[in-house]
Amino acid sequence: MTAAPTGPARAGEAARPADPAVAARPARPLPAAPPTCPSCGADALPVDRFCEACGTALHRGAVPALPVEVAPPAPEQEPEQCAECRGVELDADGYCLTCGLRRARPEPDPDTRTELDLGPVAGVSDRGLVHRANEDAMAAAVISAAGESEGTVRADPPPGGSHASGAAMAAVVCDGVSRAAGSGPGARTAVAAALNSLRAAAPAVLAAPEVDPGGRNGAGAGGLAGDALRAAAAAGQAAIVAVPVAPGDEPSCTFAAALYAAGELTVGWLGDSRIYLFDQAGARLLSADDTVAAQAARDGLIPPEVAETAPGAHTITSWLGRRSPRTTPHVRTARPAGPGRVVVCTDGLWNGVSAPGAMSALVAELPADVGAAEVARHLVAAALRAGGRDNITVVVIDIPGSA
Amino acid sequence: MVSFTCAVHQNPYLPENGTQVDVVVTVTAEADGALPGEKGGTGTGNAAAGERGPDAVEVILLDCSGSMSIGRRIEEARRAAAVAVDTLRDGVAFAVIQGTNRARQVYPNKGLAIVSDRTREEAKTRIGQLQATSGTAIGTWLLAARDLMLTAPGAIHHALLLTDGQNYEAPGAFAAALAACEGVFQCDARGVGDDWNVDELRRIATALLGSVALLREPAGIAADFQAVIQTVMGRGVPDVWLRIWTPRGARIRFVRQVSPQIDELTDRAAAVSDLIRDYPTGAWGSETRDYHVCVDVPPAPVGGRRLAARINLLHGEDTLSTAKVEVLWTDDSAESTRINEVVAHYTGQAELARAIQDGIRARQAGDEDTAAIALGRAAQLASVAGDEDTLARLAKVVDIVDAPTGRVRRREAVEKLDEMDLDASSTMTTGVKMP
Repeated sequence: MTAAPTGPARAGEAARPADPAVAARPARPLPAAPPTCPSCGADALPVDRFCEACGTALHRGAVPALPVEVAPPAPEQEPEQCAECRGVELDADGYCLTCGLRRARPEPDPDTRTELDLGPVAGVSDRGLVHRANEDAMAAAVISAAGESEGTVRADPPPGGSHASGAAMAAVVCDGVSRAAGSGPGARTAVAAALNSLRAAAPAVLAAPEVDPGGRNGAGAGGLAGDALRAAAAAGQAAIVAVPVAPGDEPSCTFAAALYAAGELTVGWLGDSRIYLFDQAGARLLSADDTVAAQAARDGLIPPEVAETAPGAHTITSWLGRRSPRTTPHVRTARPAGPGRVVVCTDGLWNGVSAPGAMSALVAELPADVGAAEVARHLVAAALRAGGRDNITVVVIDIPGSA
Repeated sequence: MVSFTCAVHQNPYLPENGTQVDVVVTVTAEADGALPGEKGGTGTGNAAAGERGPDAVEVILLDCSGSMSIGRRIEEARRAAAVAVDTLRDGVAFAVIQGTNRARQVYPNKGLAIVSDRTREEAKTRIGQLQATSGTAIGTWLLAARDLMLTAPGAIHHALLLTDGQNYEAPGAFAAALAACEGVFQCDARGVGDDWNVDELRRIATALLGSVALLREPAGIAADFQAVIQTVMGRGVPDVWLRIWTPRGARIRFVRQVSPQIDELTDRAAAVSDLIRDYPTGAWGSETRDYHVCVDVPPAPVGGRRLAARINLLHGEDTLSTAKVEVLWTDDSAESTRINEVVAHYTGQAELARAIQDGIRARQAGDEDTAAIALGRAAQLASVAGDEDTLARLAKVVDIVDAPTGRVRRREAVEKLDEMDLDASSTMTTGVKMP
């Protein structure tokens, strides 16, 4: 769960000054929320709609000041009977202990799961098993040098299926900040705007003689591709702040994007969505989380191994949204040794498996020749097996090359 | 410690009203740290063996029937048994039994000895004096091994059996002996020469969770014995079970180990409750095994999800690892018809083993037409799987005209050893070939 725009100081973080973004919020009545999660006892903020630790919905009934859907009560509070066998006991994944039927709402709800398959680029966005809505969003495209592109959400792979040589591939993932109302629609708007921006910029990147990481040719860090990513984040930012909302609401989302063109991979991010690269040179994480804990680890204040679990591990320090302290993405480039794969994902995936080697091993469970869609499904399935406590979004880009 | 992990291979999508769920579960055991018996390992070692009992028992069963005097068989069997004794780890309990029409204990005089430099030398001296005499009663040997195993409860129990001839016991006696030994110890069975019965040894290997192999030349026995004992000595976790939960209304079609060799487990289940069954897998070292589980589940409406099976790896009451088999029903036939490569591969490997055994049985019955069809299919399946070893063995029994289409011609002169080798190796499988 992507937690914040940085929240007020929690226990153990007392030295950190209160965040102006929160301090500046217009006063309004907050619902009486438990200071701790009734299910697992973890600390909670008054504005939290879900527990950071276990995903339990924290508010029952209407919360007047939040004009968004409010989670129905957690299942353990009102045991329902299984539709098939009338059993009430469920396992951790929501399966009936007697007949195995999953206790799930019917699935037509597009918020539950969306899939996107363009052949070499494919993604899955799944609500997970705990949250009532999917506030993650994704978009991807395959763009030819002439600027023609495959759409955002397509059910079928393009004719011919695999890589059109000389094409660029782009993927964008945004994780709506669940405690900021309106973030789900905000993330969807931002992702679409960011992809459109990348689509427009890609032909110029493909046409450039050589990507110039040094920023000569008048381009910034990461060359033209880096500029394209910065423009994409700016487009996403412009889109999300334009979302009409109730007074006081500030839709916010993370940003992670990858552009593969002319053999060069350029990635950009804000917040705790991640970009991994698995290629012939090994498995590695290209992004570095923008979280309080990750920053503390980088500053040597806490050991790096607790950066994903310490308080503040999901308290992001930059995002797309009105109050974000920074909306220019970090940019990094790599020259993948194909064949390989790029995984752009939200923390719903890496909460369960974060080490690049472990995630790469998960991918290696599949035959080497399966498509990007199968890889994305497999990774999402693993996150669901691990509990599916958050929304899970995974976009996979196949990097061509001969083994 | 040995840590276990499970991975599930399946197509989770079922068509509307579909019920059959096929899944291959890959179980990997990894010993982190010392082997059992070594310092810091999980074993009790030499010093503790007296107090807590040995952590492993090995019984070597040597065929000393009259036919073992042919060629250098008895000499090589003696040499191999000596190598096996040398390969045993200090602190393990062991015994050597001479098998004829009865079972005579060679070393120690009775009961089990604990491996040490002294007992190794004593055992090898006795082994060196073994002579080939009289008949073959394999069931009797197994029962003698069983008696010894039962004196050391809680240990890893293993026997290594070598024979060169057919069993001359009443079929009922042999079957009863096998049934009595099932679950008490594991046994790897080896045949030397061309006068033993592959089916007989395969029955031992199947019932006692071991392997069967043909040793063409007596000179090869020692190396094989050494390899077998090394594997057994590397095992650290005795008696692991697959516990399979299936939902109400489901039916398990089969549970089969498919790698490294095929072992039918379906009929070996112990029912724990209406929904839960336990299947034995024996002792584990650092290794990977694959299990194919096929289960029919009641269908759910399109869009519904069901847990088709929950598979726990159990040692005593401890759950070592868990795998969940989830299925969902879809009206998208592109999803539901997708083939999982791993499941397809091992389905093919099981059919390959059956085709080879059917073909050989038909050949032995003089039905060359049926043999050609079955062995042709075998050649085709081996070719699809890229299984060059099996193709090479097949080519010594039939003339392969075109493997991919399964066209074979009967072959006039076939060495009996080649046919037995093909038969005995039929249950060995190859892993999934990655392109």
